[in-house]
Amino acid sequence: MNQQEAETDLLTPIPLGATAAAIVSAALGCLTLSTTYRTIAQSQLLSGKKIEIAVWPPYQSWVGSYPIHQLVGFSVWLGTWLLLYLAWRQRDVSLRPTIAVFFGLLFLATAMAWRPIGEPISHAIVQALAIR
Amino acid sequence: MESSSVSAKQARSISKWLTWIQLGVAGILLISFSTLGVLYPENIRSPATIHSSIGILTTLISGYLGHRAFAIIRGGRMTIEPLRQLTTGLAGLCAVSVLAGDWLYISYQIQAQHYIQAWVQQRSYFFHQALMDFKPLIGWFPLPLSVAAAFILWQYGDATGKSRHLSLIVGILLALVWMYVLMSLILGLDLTKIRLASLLD
Repeated sequence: MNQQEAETDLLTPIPLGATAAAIVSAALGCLTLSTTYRTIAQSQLLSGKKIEIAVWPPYQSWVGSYPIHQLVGFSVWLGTWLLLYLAWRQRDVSLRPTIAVFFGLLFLATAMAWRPIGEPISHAIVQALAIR
Repeated sequence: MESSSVSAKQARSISKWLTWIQLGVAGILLISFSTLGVLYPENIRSPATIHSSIGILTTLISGYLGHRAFAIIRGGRMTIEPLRQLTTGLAGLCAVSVLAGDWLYISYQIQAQHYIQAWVQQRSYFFHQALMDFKPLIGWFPLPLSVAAAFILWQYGDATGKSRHLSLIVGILLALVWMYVLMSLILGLDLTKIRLASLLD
């Protein structure tokens, strides 16, 4: 079996475009979530913001900057999913690069979520964007 | 053969029933561990009960799907309907769990009465830094991953099982969901323990 045969789907060939859009955008959403959380924690400008909400969550009138990273992560996840879906739904993409990109993004997201690794990186981001 | 002895078929049937009863009792006991929290006299009992019950239910379902995932990755046959329903349910449970978890984590960080985060940071800064700050982010990851798995199963239906590439991707997603759900379950149990310690202090 040569490389070409190994790469093609032996059972039922289905274009992988829509699937690739779903998984890559999910991993990108995770990465955005953890990066935004760390960056906000590093930046006094952003973490000083107090968001006043009366309905969610109960028992608090203000929730600090806590919901920002979730709103940003959620928007990036669903936004990139829509864009990639529209761009790739008719196309076939290769399996290996898709899975490599997915695992790469998810690994970065997990690393950024762990504070001893994520903190120095987000510190550099804050310095670069001048949002200290 | 004597008429009073149990035939092999009956023995199989009894063992099957016993397995299901044991699983059911274990599941009920595990969930009651958190649902009994509704009886605690404290102000965060409703989000705490919702988050922990849904969290344990999510762990049970994703544990089952995580074990199925390895058979799916190996290319075993898969019946699409239960898999699709369970994955969709898992995505919904993850969403509820994340929302209730936000409600709780905000009170961990800033609730006026207790300041649990400050208590933890004062005593073990590394514990907060390395574990508790990891939890709210890692707990979010199963949601997009399980939504993506459910999307693939709904989009391609029976063809998912017939395509090696799609079943590989679905299997990887379900195994990853299980890993992240387990990590956040363990950290959540730890957080409960610390919260009780801080209240007693």
